[in-house]
Amino acid sequence: MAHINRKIIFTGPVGSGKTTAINSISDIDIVSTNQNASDMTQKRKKDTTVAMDYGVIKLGNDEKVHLYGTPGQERFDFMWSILTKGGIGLVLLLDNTRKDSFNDMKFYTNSFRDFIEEHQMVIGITQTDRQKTPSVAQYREWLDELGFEAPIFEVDARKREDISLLLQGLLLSLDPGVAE
Amino acid sequence: MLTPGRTLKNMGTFELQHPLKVYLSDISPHNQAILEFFIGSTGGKTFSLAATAAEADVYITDFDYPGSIAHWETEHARSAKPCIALSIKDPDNPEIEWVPKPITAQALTIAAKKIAQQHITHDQGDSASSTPATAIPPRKTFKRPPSLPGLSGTPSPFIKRPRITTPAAHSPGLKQHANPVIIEVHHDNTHHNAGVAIAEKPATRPQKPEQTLHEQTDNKKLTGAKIKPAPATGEHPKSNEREDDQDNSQNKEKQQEQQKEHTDHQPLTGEQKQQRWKMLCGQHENTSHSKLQQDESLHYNGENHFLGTLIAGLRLAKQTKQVIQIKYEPHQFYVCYDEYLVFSPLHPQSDAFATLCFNKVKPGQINLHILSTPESADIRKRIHTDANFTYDLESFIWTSCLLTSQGRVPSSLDCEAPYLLKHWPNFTRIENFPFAMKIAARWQKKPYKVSDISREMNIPIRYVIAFYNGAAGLSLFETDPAQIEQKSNVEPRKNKGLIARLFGRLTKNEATD
Repeated sequence: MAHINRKIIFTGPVGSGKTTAINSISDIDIVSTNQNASDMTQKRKKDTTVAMDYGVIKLGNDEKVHLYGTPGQERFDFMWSILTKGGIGLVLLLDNTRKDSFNDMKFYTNSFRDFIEEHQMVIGITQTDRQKTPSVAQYREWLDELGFEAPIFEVDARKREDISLLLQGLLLSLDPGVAE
Repeated sequence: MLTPGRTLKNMGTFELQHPLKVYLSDISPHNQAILEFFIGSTGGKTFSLAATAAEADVYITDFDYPGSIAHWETEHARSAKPCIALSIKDPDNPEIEWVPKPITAQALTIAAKKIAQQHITHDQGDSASSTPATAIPPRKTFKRPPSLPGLSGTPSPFIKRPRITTPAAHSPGLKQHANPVIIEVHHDNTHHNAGVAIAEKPATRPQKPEQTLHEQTDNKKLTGAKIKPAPATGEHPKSNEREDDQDNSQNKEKQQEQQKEHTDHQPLTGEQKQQRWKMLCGQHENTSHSKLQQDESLHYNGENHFLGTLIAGLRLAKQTKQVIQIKYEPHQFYVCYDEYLVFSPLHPQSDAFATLCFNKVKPGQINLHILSTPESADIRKRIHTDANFTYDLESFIWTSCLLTSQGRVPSSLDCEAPYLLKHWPNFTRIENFPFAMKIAARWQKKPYKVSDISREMNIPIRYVIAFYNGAAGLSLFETDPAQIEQKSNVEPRKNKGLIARLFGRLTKNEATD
């Protein structure tokens, strides 16, 4: 049976934990773009999936869910449109220690607006062990202001169980009856 | 090397006949890989990569990269090649084509065209277009760079961000309380509508906006409580330092016991989890709808419990931006809203805390203090020091709600009314119980009665009621009737197959972890 392999996209500002989160949940060692960059320069590959973090959740029978992390540092939006093709949902990670978390949320939700409206988003607030505020309640208010609906959880990107719950939230939002 | 045959026209119709050769300079490996990917795919008509700077027509440089500006200035002085600068800030230099971040494909293309039009000239002009491909390409020239005063001063985003301190410590909006204030909370079954109340049942259906415990206390005055100045500051418990000497040994013992209790809590085993769920959700069987409404033993009013005062404390903490002390002898709790923390001498998973929540409070047994600014500062310090006694505010309220109810129906719940969840609880930090996430998912998509959720999911109603208790305490239900109405006809999408398999995989892992 032919399987359609789908993907989940992890996005958010630099330092928000995208790479770590993918690493926590992936069944393979994460493919780090930083390592690939030099190969890329040498070989001039044109169609390889670099410039992003990449992981996999294997479901068996060669079926996989790909996990892609958008490059956070410079917000290359053309990469995002490439990345989101075939995506089933978006995981937005926001770093609670950043100065303007609201603007981060606004920027990323606006950038992925079409995708979010068509699919689903879940938000993970990271670094809350270092900085407790803004609180989850504050993020909920901001999300209301921006006109989105999404589960918002505090997560430690290093903890598999946190990222797993985040993904479960995403899947249940897509279909509340998924587990029945 | 500039390829012959490039034609230069006005920007409006200007098209590059050959890609602009670019050299990527001072760009992080991650971003370089992205640009290479772009140039190798959709950007290939506009750009081609030069292996060395000498071959390139133009540099693409990340001006936010440490040292990049100085490097480019040196290179530009030597080679006079123009630059496409990727930066958060306009370098304000005519030799530089600025592409602001976030970078778009369109901005890069426009920058390439501008560079080609403004900076690159051919000795042989348009005649080059007829030059055979094998001919020696015409020499290209670049305008000399102007001096670049002050360019190196562009701030770099790579500078380590200073640690952001919590706004609580220096919020300009703090209301100053010279003296502490004490609020006596009157608990009286006959006055549960007035004070720190659980949301009331909607009068009509479709229900009027559900006023949750949290919101109702936000909007109402504490008519059931008295606010008065605290007695002499010295009597007001502030920290351990302020305890009387004669109580010191007793306090020490108490603290040691509490400390032990806090540190003794380990992750629960399977059997302990089952017991805990019984405590949080009750253990009554799948009670019928009518029995739920009729059986008084299955009802409670949160106002008559510690929970009512906790919620009132939360409201006051939010309003005053001060730390609120809840004195419930012999315990003292502190609610620090601006740090979203609660200081509790009892571990929320302890039996003592469960008993405290479940039992009704007696008149005069519990009261609230609004601490003065210095006292608040003192407590904040203590909160940060005694991490073992500090809990996430939302998680603490959630557990308090569940332990108060233990599966019983709150006075706020109208079993005949549909409710719509507006926001999910913070599931990674609250105490979870069976079906909680699935209940949240269902309740967020569409308004449901409690009994409908239970029936559709084929689960005991106590879990749905437990979820209601926690979520209502955190004000997570929709209060706008228009929104409830709007969503009443929504049919959730069905995404079986891969999503179901992925969900199964994640939950299977969870069970085995």
